[in-house]
Amino acid sequence: MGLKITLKPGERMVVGGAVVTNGATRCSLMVENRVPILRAKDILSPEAAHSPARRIYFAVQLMYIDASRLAEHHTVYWRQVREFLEAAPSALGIIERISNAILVGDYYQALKSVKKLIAYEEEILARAS
Amino acid sequence: MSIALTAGMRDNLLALQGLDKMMQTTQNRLATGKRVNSALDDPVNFFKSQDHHNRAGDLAALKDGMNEAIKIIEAANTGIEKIQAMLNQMKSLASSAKTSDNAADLAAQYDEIRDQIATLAADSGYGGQNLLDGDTISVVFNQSGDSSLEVNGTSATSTTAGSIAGTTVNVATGAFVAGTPPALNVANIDTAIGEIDTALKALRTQAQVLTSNLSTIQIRADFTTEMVTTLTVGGDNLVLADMNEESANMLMLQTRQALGTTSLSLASKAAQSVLRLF
Repeated sequence: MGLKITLKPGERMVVGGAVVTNGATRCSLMVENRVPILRAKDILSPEAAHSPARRIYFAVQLMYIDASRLAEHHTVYWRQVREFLEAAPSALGIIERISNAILVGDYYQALKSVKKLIAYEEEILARAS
Repeated sequence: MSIALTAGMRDNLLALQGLDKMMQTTQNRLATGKRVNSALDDPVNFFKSQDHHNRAGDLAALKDGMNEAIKIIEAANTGIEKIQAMLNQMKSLASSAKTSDNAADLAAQYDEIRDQIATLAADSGYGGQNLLDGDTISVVFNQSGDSSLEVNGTSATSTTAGSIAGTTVNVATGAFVAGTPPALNVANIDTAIGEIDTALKALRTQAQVLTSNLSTIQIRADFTTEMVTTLTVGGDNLVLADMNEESANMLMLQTRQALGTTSLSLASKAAQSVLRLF
């Protein structure tokens, strides 16, 4: 069971602990064992985590690429989730989906669900302006 | 004789009945503290909230399984520690026997301690499961059961006096002092010490695996506990959700976080070096 990835010229991604940059032509890779994989578009830098939902994304991202400190990242995750739900209780459904994915260790799916949370948060904030 | 109501009186009657119904609803809400108390009030939120409560219940059950596993592993680890202490005692007895004129007595003590190991191993269980007695436990982390951890799966060997974590430890009596006429047999004693070292190494490996498993399960169990709390409290709060309030709250939270000093998260050097490149 492998993951097939196609990189555009110059595109970057994280494979295991390594940051790799593609060369001048499109290339196709197959990652054959289970390591954390994140494409450039899925990576959130600390500066870009400027909203409550994005902070949750950052916490889940760390669970994925910094697995040696899982307990710490879980603590931060739950603190931020609690703050988020205090502000917007209606997000519980999405939060549950994210937490389920983390529980079984499917961090990639968890990150996809947090993206939905970010979109939901934008909806909520849009109503305020 | 039937009483006919005039239009005016009928209107009044309907108004009073409506008022009575509203009063009942309000009293109900005051009594339970919930704005949505039954499916009739707000069906969508009511059933969503129920779903979350049910899910919390399922997770609580899974967590009980995890806690059981943790106790079983802890019991096994305690047993291993005690057996290691006994093996060390046996080792010092054997070492003393090499330069003693009472080697036969020391051999007898050696065997006594050796025989106790079996009893100790048999007592290292919890709730009927004993990882030192060849048992395997499987801890399930989610409902479908496809996320689970097997503890002691492949190296499930019983620990008895003669077989410790898959290695052999033989009797000493008749080996320390052997032959006719009986004489001290240093070679046999060295063999015995070698067997003890092998057993200690095997136990150490077993303990390391168990400790690592314990840590994994503990992290999952803690996560599940938080999830149960969040779902239960969140489910209750769901029925209080107000769209406009949420917008204002979210804006406040974002501002507070931007101004606040709580950092995002401490990342290891390795993770920081990765994130800095993007």
